[in-house]
Amino acid sequence: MAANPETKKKIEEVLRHHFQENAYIDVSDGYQDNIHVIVVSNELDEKSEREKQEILWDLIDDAELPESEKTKISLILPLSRSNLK
Amino acid sequence: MTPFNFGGRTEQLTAALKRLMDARVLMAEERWLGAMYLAGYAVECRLKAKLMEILNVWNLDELESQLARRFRQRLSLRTHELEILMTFLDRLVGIRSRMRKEILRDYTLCSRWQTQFRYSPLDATKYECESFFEAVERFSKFISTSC
Repeated sequence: MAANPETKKKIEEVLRHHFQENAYIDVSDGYQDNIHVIVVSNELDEKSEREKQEILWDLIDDAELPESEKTKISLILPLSRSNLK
Repeated sequence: MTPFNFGGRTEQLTAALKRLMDARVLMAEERWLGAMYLAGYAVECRLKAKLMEILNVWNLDELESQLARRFRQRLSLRTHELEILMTFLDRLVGIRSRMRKEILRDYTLCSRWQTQFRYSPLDATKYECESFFEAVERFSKFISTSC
């Protein structure tokens, strides 16, 4: 069992549309049909953990996925570049 | 396989409460990552206790056998992965469909927790810790009351 590729594609598109080209975006399979989302971007600098999560969730909400698909997202990892230094 | 230590349903539930209390002590001392490390166990134990409650079993050994039989798959409940435990909970009671926007956000924040936090030489920030705590407390309450 793997995540729905259409759902992953929609999430990735909406994130790529928002973030600059040099952002790292990875939408991948989690356990069974779960989805993991990782974004590394300067735009996430100096934001609190809650704010970073909100930014990504607001963008994902824009993808207009059915709730049943949105709830497959089991991990969101928003990182600023400084988080990785 | 040796039986689980402290794998009883009541033990897991008690551990969930106690690890959260321990975590609060660390948080008050500004030991941010240490606090997050312990708080994450509160969610893990809460999920394991809830799975036992739903299947009406009293320890993790029985739970592991029941889940393996029911879902016809090999599995180990020695896992600390919240995502795996949540997936079983969803397959049993459809918990995902009950997760409203805020809870879903809390869940994905809690899912960042990993037992490897204990090896990290870095600390978390106050804000990371506070956000994580909020999420843990709300999500734990949701698990307790929603199924």
